[in-house]
Formats: sequence, C-alpha cells, structure tokens
Amino acid sequence: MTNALPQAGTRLPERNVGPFSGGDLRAYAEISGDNNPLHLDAELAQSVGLAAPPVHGMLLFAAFEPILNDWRPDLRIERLSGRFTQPVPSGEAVSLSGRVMRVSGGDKPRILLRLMANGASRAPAIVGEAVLVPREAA
Amino acid sequence: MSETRLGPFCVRTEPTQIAAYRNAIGASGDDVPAAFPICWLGQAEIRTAVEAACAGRLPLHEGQTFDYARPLEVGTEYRLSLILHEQAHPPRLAANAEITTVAGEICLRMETLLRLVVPAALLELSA
Repeated sequence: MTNALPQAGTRLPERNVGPFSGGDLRAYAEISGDNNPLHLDAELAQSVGLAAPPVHGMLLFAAFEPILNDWRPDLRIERLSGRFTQPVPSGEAVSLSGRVMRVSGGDKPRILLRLMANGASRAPAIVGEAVLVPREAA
Repeated sequence: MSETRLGPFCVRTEPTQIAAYRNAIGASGDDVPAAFPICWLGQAEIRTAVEAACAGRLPLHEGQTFDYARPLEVGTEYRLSLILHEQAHPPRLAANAEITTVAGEICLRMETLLRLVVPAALLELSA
C-alpha cells in the first residue's frame, strides 16, 4: 500500500532540542571527530565574542532527521542541505521547524521541505532544506 | 582559488559508531543517519589534510549538503574521495567529498563549507 504524499504547506511538528551542556558538546566531538576547540573551550569562544562555546552546527542540523523520520517513516532523505547562519551558545534550547514547499509526483515523487532552527533570540540559526523520497523508490 | 585532490580513503559505516551517533542526535531505527558521513571528516588521515588546509586558522562551519544517490548500509566499507577548494577573499574552504561503493558506484556527494578565521586570542599569542 502506498501512503498519500504530503501536501505543500504542511508544517512539521515543531520540536525543541537542547539545551546542550559542555558535556554534550564534548560527547558529540568524541563521536563525530569534530573537536574544533571553539566548541569546547569557553575562553577561546569568549575571545571571539561568543558568550559561551557554540553548539556544533551539525549536531543541530542532524537533529532534523529524527523529526522527518517520525513524521513520515515511509520517506527517506535524498538531500539535506543547510546554512549555519548564526551560532547557538551552549545552554540555549533550539526550536526546529519545517514546512513542505513543493511536492512533485510521477514515477519518483519528491517532497521539498524548508527547515529552520531558531535559538532563544528567534533569529534563524540554520536555514536548510530537505528532499524526501519514498523508501520503495530508493 | 587553489584545489587539492585527496584519497580515495577507506571509510566504514561501523555499527557501534553509528549507534553512538544516533544516540547523540536523538535518532532511532536501523538506517545510517543521513548526516553520519560528516564523521568521516574526523577520521585521522582526512582530518590531517583538512587541518593542513586551514593553516592554523579556526574553521567555522558555514554550510553542509548531503546528496544521496543511494542510501548507505550499516557495516559496509566505502571509498571517500575529497577535493579541497580554498578561496582567499574571504578565507574559506570547501570540502567536496564523493562516497562510492568499493566497486565504484556513487552513493553520496557531500559538501562542507568552512569559513577560516584567525581568532583574536591567537593573534595576541602570536604578537
């Protein structure tokens, strides 16, 4: 049985992630291999004008995937793209949201979504997009 | 703009690393998370090449793209080829990776954009 495709304009259930502690960032650095000292050294972060070490952009960006999978487990990510426009300091929660922008049908349907991550300032920390395709079309 | 070609490097979707990564990003399921291949840039030989291109500057992650031709499978070996494009004004590094099966079939193209900065603290230390 084929599930109906989502409609343009549909919003993803909004989800909050974090706040991430220094320990969370160290754990992510260990797993991902991204041990950029800016994420781990408070003094260095302050020296470049940040109140606290920023959360790894990829830690926030990757958190969209569980939302997409929970929303439509019958779809998989074909493309995931994002710009990290503003740092999110550790200790700050982030709201992840998304909206279906376009749905194309045919033999291999594609669903284009706009993704947004907003920190406490509500200014976008990440602006991105995802393209989902049916798993059976993989 | 200068360009450096590296690899191919041998990379793996190691089940234990994938389980730890899923846990870190709050994911469940059996798939390889779409963003997991970013971890391969932290692999020693790849990281060394990227750090050399950064030349002492701090890389700030500005953007990331994953374009899949086919999903990756857990517990599988792949090949990663990397092209580093360095731009002078403003200082920026684009790392373009192509991940293929061992047989050479394309699975994923990945682009990582890094802005390269010299933090004030490092400037003071070097003065």
